[in-house]
Amino acid sequence: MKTEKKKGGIIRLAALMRPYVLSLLLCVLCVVIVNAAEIAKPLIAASVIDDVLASDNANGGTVFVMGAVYFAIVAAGSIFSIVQMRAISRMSQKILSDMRKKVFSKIMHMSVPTLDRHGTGRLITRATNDVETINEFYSDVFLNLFRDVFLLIGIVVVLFVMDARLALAALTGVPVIAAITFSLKRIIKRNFKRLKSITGQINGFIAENISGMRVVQAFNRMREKLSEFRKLNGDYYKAAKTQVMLNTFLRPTMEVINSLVIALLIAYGYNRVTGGFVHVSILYAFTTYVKQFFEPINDLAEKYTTVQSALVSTERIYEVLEETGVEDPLAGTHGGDMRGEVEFRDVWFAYTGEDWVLKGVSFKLTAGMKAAFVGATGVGKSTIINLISRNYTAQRGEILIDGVPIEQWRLRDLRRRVSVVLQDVFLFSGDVRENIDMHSGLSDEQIRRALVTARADGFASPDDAVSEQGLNFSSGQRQLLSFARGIATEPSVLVLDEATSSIDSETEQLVRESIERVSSGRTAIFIAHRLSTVRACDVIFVLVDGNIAESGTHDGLMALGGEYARLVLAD
Amino acid sequence: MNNQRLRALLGYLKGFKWLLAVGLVFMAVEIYLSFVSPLVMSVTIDSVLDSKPVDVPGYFRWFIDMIGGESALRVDALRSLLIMAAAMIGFRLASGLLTFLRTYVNSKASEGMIKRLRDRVYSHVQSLPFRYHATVQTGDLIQRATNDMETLRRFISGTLLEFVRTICLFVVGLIVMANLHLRLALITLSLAPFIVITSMIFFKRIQNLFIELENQESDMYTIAQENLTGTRVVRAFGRERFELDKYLKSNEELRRRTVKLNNMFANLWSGLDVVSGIQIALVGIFGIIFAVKDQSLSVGEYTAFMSYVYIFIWPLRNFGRVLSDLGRSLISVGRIEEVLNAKPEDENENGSTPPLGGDIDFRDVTFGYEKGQKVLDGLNMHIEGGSTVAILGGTGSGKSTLAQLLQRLYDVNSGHITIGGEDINRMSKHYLRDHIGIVLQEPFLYSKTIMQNIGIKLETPEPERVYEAAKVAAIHDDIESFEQGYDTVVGERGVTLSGGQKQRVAIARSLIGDSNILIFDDSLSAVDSKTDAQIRAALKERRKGTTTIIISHRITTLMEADKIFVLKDGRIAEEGTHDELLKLGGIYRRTYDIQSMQAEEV
Repeated sequence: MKTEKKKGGIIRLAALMRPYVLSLLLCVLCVVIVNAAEIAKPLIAASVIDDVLASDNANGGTVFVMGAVYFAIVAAGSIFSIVQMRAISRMSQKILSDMRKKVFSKIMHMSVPTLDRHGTGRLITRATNDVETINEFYSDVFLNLFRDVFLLIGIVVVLFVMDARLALAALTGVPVIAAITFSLKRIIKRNFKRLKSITGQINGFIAENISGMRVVQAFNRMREKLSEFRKLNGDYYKAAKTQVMLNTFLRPTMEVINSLVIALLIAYGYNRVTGGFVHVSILYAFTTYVKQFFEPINDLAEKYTTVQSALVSTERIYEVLEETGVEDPLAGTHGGDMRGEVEFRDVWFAYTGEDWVLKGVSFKLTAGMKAAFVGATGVGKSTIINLISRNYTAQRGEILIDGVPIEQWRLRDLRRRVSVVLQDVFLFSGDVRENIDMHSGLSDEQIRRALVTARADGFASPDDAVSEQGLNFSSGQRQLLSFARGIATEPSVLVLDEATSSIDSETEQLVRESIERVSSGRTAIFIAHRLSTVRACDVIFVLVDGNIAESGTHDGLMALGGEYARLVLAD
Repeated sequence: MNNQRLRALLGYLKGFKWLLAVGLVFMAVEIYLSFVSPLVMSVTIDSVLDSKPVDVPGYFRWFIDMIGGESALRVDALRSLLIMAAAMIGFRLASGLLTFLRTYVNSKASEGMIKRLRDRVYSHVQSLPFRYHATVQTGDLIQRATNDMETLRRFISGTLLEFVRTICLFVVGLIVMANLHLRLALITLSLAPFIVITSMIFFKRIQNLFIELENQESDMYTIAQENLTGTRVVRAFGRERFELDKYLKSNEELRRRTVKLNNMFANLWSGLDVVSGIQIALVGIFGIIFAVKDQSLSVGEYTAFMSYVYIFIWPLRNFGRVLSDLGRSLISVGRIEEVLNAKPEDENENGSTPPLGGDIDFRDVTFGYEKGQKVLDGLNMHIEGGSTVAILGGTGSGKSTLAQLLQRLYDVNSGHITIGGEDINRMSKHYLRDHIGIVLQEPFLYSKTIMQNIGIKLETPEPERVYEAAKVAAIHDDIESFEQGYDTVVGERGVTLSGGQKQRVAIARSLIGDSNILIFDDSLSAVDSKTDAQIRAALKERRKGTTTIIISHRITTLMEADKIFVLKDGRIAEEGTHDELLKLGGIYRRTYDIQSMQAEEV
């Protein structure tokens, strides 16, 4: 099962290169030429030693010809490697940006339950880190794998052509080098992961504690926090030292092994007839080539781990790309204007399994009605919002808007006509206009009017900048802006979720007046803890344990003396 | 400016000088070995395979003596070859061992330096006064403590060593080669200045491109992050297309810039390849001329020089990067030094530690966050020990300032604050803060378990006390209803606490420990009125003798206090009980009317 998955990963990675077959072929060609030149260099030097030095033939002409040939090879090699590097970077960056595009647009089309299931943090990692890992495969690994194999084979061929017997001797070191390199790389990788995770912990620790310094200092936790930090830092110190040592170990070891192989070559290549080595030039060439074995092997070992993580990332990315829980904003047969009738008929809903949050809720709001839902935390008030804006779909029962089942509404129209002002205010970085307009093409006049209605005109004008998460506004101001956003499109149904909890009394008074104004002619649904805000509603629904326990006007419910009356008395 | 930073950088080395010196010696010997081992090959070619007399520079004579003098090479050719082969292995082993030792010593020193510096920075940041943290950008401070620190780490444990090693390599290499053949030695290094300068200019130039690329990247991530965090809003307003376009534009820009940068690198590496090729060819050609034409170079020495060219090429190319990195690291040093130079808070450790259950007095207190600003202006306030008082005031009227002054997060400009008659300026800050519990308006919880969050003040885990505090804060039942109960990790996937729940956890946290004074800084507003009342009742029950200060703008939260203060224009405008203040008909009365009108407008 696991190998099958991996295989699938390789095929997927390879398939992404298909549109770039031509430029890939060009790259391969360049690699062959560049590395053929690389292999040729020692041969030229060897022939110089042979022809010029050993024969004591001071032919200046030959030397310069050789020099020229050498230079030509180097120059050609570097031109081809420019071509190759540029082509591969173009290809890998294109694949990378296409991949990011695909992942992100997939995420944008996921339905809310799907998003909740995957979790925001993990999706962000998919769209960033995982895509980056795959990029390494294309920009770094793929061509290098090819190059390394080509180099290894090329060197072996040249060695055998020069002297088959010596070639065999020279190859004795290869399995040892490969075995040591691969196993050491595994250890290095493991330690590296550890190092990275500690780095993450340290950075997380610093970020958290600097943000929460007020708490650290108010609770006098400085000493404890410092010792916690020292411990992390000490772990890092140890892992970092180990990492450095591990990294140093490989190269000297390889050089010792290389020397052993060269010694073997000398002993083996000793010519008993002439009393010397087979040939000086061959000795030179062989020793140079033996040293060249190490790099490609080292590289292969290095890339092996990269390929593995690329496969894991591919698997994760495709998990996202193949996600079927998406929504289509244009699906649905019913659209256009909305009068604002909302009806629940025996609605049952659970986020997971049989864990019912709503147990057969029924109510009907006629257009223009003001309704409120009250009840303790976790009783299902927010769930009702999720259902009305169709973030989630009810398992049983029916929800009708203007008498039309909610599933038949075109999602985009539904959400445009049903405006929700959420408890957790979210502002986008940019400017106030963008935040109010939300890309629905409102005129400046409409935006200004929304700001005035929400009483946000005192501190914000359309061109004012909004920083990340709107942190340049106070929490109360953010709520007012969010409110302006909610009413700017003149929705038919307005849902206010605890929207006024952190505004001071006087501002709240202003906002409430404006709610009064904007909600006339629309259906308004208030979700509130504070009962003082809901008295004016036409109908109040009291939710208890996933059911509507009582409903009616404030006076009616007070007269009833039930749950609502109890809540009011406690208020 | 740079001098100062360089001095700071050298200051970090303090205490590791010996280790560094030892490392330097190891390094020099190792470089020496890497230069003389090609000479083994040279002697082999000249005097073993050929029969020329042994001619090595003075610094390598010891080797010939060690193997038994020149005559030993004349006994048996195979034996001599094997001796030389063994010598080669010996040299490799020795230089490998030295590399290992050097790295060990160096990493101990450099990682040790970094560890010490990181501890120092963190501990310093913690000791900086509240005023500092309130004025700096949190994100920027975090950047300095993490990213700049990482730049510095990479520099100290990598670049700096490379810098020293390259210089060492030059010095040792030049000496070794000059003794063999001066003219060829100079030719071997003839293009070095060109290579170094080219790569240095290049890296200086791309530095800006790099920064732009990083910014572009973080821009793109911010868009993705913002989008996914605010996904409900995006959905609710059908803004998907717009967000997607924004992301794609940024994505495309990132691609374009990366390709551009990669192309520049391709040019550089290939260009330097050519230059290196010329350098190698020069040594090759002139070597032959010297060897054949004027016979001043042997075949063996020729091969040795061919090895030397390769020893130099990589460090030379890299030297440009090293030099430009030095500049970048100095910027980080400057940013870290700025933090380290900020004055830490005076803890007043030897201050007094009187009991804090007595009356609290604010006498003629004047305070402003900036010069010329007066948030409090001659404020007088008397709070009876063990009583519950409430403070009402508009936004920005200085309610939270009172709490901050009492904890000495800020100091008064003039006037006095006393507890039980003792001026708080004379008290140990640690003691003072330990005994004043505060619940903030915006609760900050650690991404740890709820148990750990509530028990933050406990030295050893005491679940019973945690449960008790949670019950008083009316959060116990909520926590129990979570699948993992008190072991639920705050803020991790799955469970996210609502605003009100976080607030109540923060309240529970403040109830642990023996605070004599408890301040609720507008922290009851996020919980519903019923829970608010429940918490206040439980508190009254539990904390007899604790002075409780409640800051709020909700009348129902304030009205039961023993005494209510109304803050206006930096002074106490009204004080008294609920009934007294209602009769007075001032700000309190007006606020009350607004709130009850809201409640009653039918």
